[in-house]
Amino acid sequence: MAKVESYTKKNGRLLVFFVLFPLLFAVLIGALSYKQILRHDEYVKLSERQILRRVVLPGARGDIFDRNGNLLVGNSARFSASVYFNEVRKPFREEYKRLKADIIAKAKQSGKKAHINSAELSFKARENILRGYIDEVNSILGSSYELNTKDFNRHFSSRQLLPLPLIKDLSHKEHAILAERLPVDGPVQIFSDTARTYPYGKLAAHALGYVSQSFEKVQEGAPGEELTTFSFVGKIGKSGIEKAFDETLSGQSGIRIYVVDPNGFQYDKLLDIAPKKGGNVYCSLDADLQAVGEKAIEGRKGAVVALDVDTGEILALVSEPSYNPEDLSPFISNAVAKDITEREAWLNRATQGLYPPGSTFKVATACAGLMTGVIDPSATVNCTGGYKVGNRIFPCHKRSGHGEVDLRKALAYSCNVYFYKYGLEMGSQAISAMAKEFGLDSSSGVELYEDAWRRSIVPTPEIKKNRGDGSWTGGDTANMSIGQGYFRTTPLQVACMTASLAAKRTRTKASILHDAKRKGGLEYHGAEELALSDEQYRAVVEGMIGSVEYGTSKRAAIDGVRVAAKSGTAQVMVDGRPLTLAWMIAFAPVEKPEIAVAVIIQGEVPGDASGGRTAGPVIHDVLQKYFDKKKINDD
Amino acid sequence: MQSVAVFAALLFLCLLGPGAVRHFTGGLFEEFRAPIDELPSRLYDLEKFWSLHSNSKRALIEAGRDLARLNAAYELKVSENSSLKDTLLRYEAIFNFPSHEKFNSVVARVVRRDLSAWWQQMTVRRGSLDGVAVGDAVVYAGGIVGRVSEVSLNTAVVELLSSRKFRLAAHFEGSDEPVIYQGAGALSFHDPCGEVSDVPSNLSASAARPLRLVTSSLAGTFPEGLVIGDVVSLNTDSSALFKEGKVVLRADLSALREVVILTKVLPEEQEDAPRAGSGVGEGS
Amino acid sequence: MNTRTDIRIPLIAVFEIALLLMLGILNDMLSQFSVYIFVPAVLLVAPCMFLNFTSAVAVAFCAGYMFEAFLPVRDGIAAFGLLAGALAGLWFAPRLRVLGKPSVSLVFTAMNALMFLLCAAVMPSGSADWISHGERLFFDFLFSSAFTAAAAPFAVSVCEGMFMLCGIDLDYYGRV
Repeated sequence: MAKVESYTKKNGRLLVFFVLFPLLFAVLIGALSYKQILRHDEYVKLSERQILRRVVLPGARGDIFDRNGNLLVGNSARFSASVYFNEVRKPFREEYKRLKADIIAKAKQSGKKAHINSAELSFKARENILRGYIDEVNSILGSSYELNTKDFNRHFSSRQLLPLPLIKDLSHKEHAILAERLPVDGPVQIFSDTARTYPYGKLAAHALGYVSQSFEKVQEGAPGEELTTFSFVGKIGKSGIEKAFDETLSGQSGIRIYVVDPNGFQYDKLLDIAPKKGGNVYCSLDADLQAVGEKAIEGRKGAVVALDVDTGEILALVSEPSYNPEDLSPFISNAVAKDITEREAWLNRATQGLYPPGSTFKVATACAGLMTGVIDPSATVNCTGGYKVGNRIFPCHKRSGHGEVDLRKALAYSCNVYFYKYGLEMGSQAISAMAKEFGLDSSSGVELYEDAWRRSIVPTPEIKKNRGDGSWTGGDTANMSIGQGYFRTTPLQVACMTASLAAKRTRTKASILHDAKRKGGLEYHGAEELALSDEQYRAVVEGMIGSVEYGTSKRAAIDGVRVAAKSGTAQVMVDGRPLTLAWMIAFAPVEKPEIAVAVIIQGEVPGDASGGRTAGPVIHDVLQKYFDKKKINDD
Repeated sequence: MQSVAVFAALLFLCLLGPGAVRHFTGGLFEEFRAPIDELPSRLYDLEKFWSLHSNSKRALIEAGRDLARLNAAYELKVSENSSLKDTLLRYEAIFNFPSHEKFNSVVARVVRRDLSAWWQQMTVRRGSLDGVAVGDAVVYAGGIVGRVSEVSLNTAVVELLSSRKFRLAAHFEGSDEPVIYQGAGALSFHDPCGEVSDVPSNLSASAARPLRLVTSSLAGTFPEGLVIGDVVSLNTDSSALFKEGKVVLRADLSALREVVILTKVLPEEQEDAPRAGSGVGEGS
Repeated sequence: MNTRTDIRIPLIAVFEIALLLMLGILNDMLSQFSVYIFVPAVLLVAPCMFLNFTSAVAVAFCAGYMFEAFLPVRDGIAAFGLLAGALAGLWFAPRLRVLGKPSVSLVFTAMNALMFLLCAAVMPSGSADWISHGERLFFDFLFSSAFTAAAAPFAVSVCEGMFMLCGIDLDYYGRV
């Protein structure tokens, strides 16, 4: 009889089974729940990071217009023959197989084992295909472009989702030929981009500035922050208005999120946020005035600044030598950089050039003297061609002397002796206070980054002491009273002083932006009325009028409009060489000033430049253009 | 099984046969097909002839007289044209301008039109025997028609400018900025249309003030300034760098009976090209 | 293959060439309205209706190949649709008798719809604008189907008339 097994409930081994396995299953379910439920979000994010890629597209850059709506900087189309890697995966694969088969066949022939380096073979396959495409384009264009292997390799390893430009910057003819002859659905396509264009050429290059390439920065809060991001090359302002208003001009980047396959090639597009064009900037420059100013000092080193007296808007901001911003876009070549450096053209002399103001400062000295009561407009001084200060003779520019001069004649003839005398009487403190009141050591308020006001100097005994030049002397005061010595100002600051004097106020706030609704006024400029009586103020202005009518600024005169001007000829030592700086400031019309101008031209050899002779014609040209335009507009 | 085997063999022949065989048979077939395409056109001409034949002599004389007047006017225009061209050549020589592309004009009768959702083309009754080559421009009085895409001995296939595979560089009248024109097919009971892209963002167009799109001569296929169509609206494209819009083509494109093929004049071309057409165009 | 089939093959071939010509003229006339009639079904089903199986396969294949050759598409993609259609036609042919007497129009229209949809699926539009491409396809499909439904009985009658004029005794499977 066979033994029959009987089931007993209380079997110890079964107990192990019934306890252990449920426990193990519980652990498994717990672990799965933990991973799939509790850590779900984390794994989703990891998965997205692996399979999603973000592409950032730059928005078109905004345009820059002058105050009359003329386009100064815009965008023009730039074309390249490009290929998307995703479209050419199949040819890559087939070429890889062909090369591999070749290697194997050759190895078999020689009886050796085939050594295949996949990475190298992949690279070779891609190179062959891309070379084939370039050859196709070359045969269409009749050109001889070559594949830039370094660019292609770098692009493939780090910018796979973006089109690879095979041939950049196609000319209009090449673009036209390829548009017709490349197959519409082929792998090589024409990719369009923009480059900055300057319809007026090198006009206002320093004021407008230039852009250079940069990888597009993304706004905060843009989707896909945690994803691997590829950026199309965008533009960033590097100087001038382009830099100062870069945020406005840049616009908003577009975002595309793609699903990619395990090899990183795009598979599907999940999100597409279109980029937005940047805002336009309407600057205060007048293209015609700017052109006249640039032509007037062409070939020399110098600056011209013209301001609207009422609003402080900059009508012209000229700096020579200059450069053509088109040469700097889309990138600066070594040759161009070298040329600009050699010609010292990077510097914006209007806002960054630091010079002693010379005799143009006499107007401020006159104001200081009148305010302190030291100067009586009708009192005269006998100029014999020099003035003794201590044991030194400080010369007047007219060696034979001007004879008896009052304030008006002293300003008209730019008599140094008059201002030495009264400068010493009022003291350096009064003069420097006046200079500071006119803003010659502070910011003009212009929005540009290139403003060297921080390095401007209004001389004081402390400054001389700090420089280790010893203690302050009467000679320093004498120099200071005629705008020489330790003085350093920018042409923009001097132009602001001129506009302030024209409007009988202490300060002028300059602006490179145009606002038709801007009103000006003391509050807007942060200024106070000049503490001069009407008679005192009139004396200064009549002196400046006299400078134009019979004095040193005759060349600034224009027909039909009364101009008030002051010339100046300063001397500086540059690398041990004395150089002359020809200055002139002016405002017009005298009855109700509208425009204030400051001009400085640097001489090359001593004596080759003087305020009246060299800077006067520039003032004349600028003012003439301004009033001619005004007449046309009024008509 | 037998039917499957037969079918498989035929499939192989059609799809997987050697490329050279397909190319050879394809070429042969084109020459066989061309007369078939031409036949209806010839029959139409014959039908027209006999219908005119049935007209009274008086009607024919009057029609002849009207035609003579027209001919006289056109002859005057042709001679004016000739003298203008001579003047242009003189100016080119004086100012050392690069000479504009010269073309020979070959007038062709439209034999057949195929305008479907997939293709937009027409067959014309001129071929390689008349000097027509692939890539030659095809135009008419109202502007451009398309480009020759295939040529056989006596016929040629013209890809119309409304075809989605037709693309060329163009510009707006009065502007130098290059834009791209591409055909966009034709919706049923609508006129054919196209698309323009890479338009500078400062341009705008409206129905009241459309922008006229014309050809660019830079690629050398089309003469400068031939009308493509009108753009009545422009919208910012997806990149926000440029604008794009729809191009309204001429309505009479779908009903053309005669077109002109512009064949390029080669420097060494002889003056008397074989069957060179109407003689309206420039000779070499 | 018997003698009767031998004579019918060239007659059907002539009919098909004439049909292709007329379709070309019709599409030329309709081009000014941007309408296109796409009717390969008549070419493929007609042989299946009047010839025996092997001959029908051969003629349908040749007709399909010729129709494809008349198309501007040069990359052989249409062959897929047309041959697939030929296969469907061959499948139809033996079953026409079994199905009884379905309307000629219905058979031809159904076949044409199948061909059209297959070709629409495999032939590239060359454009990313699927909406307008789809709209055009829809109207072409509508007009093609309407034309097929209207013209199919006439096409069959023409074939029958042709055979009678040549004194051929019609021996076909599943004639309707």
